[in-house]
Amino acid sequence: MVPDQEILEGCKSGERNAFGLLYKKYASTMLGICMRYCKRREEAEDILHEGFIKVFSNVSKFRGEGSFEGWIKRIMINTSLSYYHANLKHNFKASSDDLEDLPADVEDDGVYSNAPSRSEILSLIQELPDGYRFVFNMYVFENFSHKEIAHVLGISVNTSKSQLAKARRQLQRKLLEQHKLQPNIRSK
Amino acid sequence: MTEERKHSIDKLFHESLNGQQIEPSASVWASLSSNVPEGRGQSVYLYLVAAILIGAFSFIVNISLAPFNETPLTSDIETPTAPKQERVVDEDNTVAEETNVPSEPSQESPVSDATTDQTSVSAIASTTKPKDISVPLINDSNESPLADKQEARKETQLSEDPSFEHHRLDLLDYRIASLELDNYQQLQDDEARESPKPIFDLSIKDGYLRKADIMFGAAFSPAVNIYPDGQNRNDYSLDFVAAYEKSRFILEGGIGGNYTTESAKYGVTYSSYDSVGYYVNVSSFSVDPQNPDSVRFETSMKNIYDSINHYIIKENTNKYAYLQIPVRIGYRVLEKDRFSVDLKLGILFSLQIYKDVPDIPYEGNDVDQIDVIRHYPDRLTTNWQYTASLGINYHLSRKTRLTLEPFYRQYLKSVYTSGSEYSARSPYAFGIRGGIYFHF
Repeated sequence: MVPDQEILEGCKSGERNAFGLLYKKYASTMLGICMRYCKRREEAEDILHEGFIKVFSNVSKFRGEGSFEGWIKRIMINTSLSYYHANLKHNFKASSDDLEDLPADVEDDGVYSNAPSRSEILSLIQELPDGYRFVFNMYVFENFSHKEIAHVLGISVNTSKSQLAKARRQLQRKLLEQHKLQPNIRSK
Repeated sequence: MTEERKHSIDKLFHESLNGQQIEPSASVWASLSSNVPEGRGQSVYLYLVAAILIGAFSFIVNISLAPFNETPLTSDIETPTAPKQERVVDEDNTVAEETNVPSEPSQESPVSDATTDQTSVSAIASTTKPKDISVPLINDSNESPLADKQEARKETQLSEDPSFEHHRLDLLDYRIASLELDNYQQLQDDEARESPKPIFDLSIKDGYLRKADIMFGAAFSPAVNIYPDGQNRNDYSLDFVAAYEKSRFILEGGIGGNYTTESAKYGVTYSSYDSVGYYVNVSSFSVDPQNPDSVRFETSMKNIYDSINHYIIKENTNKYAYLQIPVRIGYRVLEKDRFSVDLKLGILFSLQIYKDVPDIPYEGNDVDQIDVIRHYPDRLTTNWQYTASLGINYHLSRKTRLTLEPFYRQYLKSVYTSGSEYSARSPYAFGIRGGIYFHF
């Protein structure tokens, strides 16, 4: 695998081959991220395409503060946010309180008897409403705090928290329903 | 990690999907590769353009500094050359008069194979006369007296030559030919006085007889582009062309560069830490010593800050450069004196070789960008245009002409990618092309 520094230097001096190496090295990982933020693969590939155009255009401005992969990842997430921006606010306002059937005090220890595959888990995320999906992804995978999520998405911290809770409950319900998973439920 | 982050759902999803790699389809890279910024490739284009410019400049300078020594056309050759004055000696061995006789065509002259009847007369006469006499006696006002004496001495020697009688007969033939030529020359002079002869003849007849010319030209073209959004955008082109001209028909092709700018708008959502109000903070209080019934408060004004979202429209200027390949066909509709008018139609292929899309101008401290929505479409990297123009030429000389060419240009398709509101209609342009053409 070609080191980032070498790729960066090549890109900065305009070597076409270096851009190809950059894409080859990170495209799969970045599509994995984009897929979590999108509903369909076509959308994810569109975002990947637009994100890489931004990466190529701005690679000369990367000053080496932080990891290169993290920088690309941030661009992909921002591109995803821009892509869904028009619908996001609507989704945050939309109420999805059809989860009342799940007891609020249910807690599990994460041990499932029949773990779903990666693609099934990805599908579950993609089925989430846009608002839930973004908050869940940013919290769980990007390790953003609620304050950071609120800041980036332009929502309040409480909204971020409630969206996360609802996302978890929806995922949990679907895991139980569709995959017949049996978490070791214990009552408080 | 906080306690909350230990939620089992979070763990399940994080462990399953974190670092997941999904291979994108080949079409993504196929589309992306056309957007790879040109680095060294771009410098190759710049070197190429620079080399063309330097070459063209050197050529123009070379042509401009070269002495003006044109080869006459066939039409010019038909006119007999101006006869040189030759001093003729009469029977009395005296210089009796000066008569105009045509000069002998030079062997080096390119017109030697195209002499007319009149010049043939002079040629025959000159071949029959003795070599001693055939040496033209130049009537040069600057001739020195010493040279005159030497000339007179030479003529005296000739009169003593026994073959001189035969030479005298030849000289009579000379005089007859000279008189005919004098009359012809007089007619030519009269015609010339009535209508000054142009530097070259552009008559239709002569044009058809004229062999094909290859000319090289350089021109600069400012233009105004009318776009579907109602905005006008200026562009500037510089082109170098080779033109093949046969009779009245013209075929022209070359290479050029085009530079244009375009306004690009962005909708930027950002948050800033702004003051949203204030409150009065009571820092201390005490009983008023002068009025024990009242309490005195020490207060200060405190501002309240919070993250406030803002939405603004920012505007940038994008710059684009294209490599252009024009091909035109034309017809010369008018020729008069030094002016000619050409009607040209053609196509133009443009390839984007450079673009400068600057970052969004972003200012202020404690400002976080939330979202940027672009309000301008992407440009296609190639486009085709057709052109129609009316070239007005002023011929400085047989080899050089200036041209001023108002033109209309229509894009065959939109210059923007499909899907944008701009892609439905194609822009058009008006401009004027000014330049210079050279003929080798």
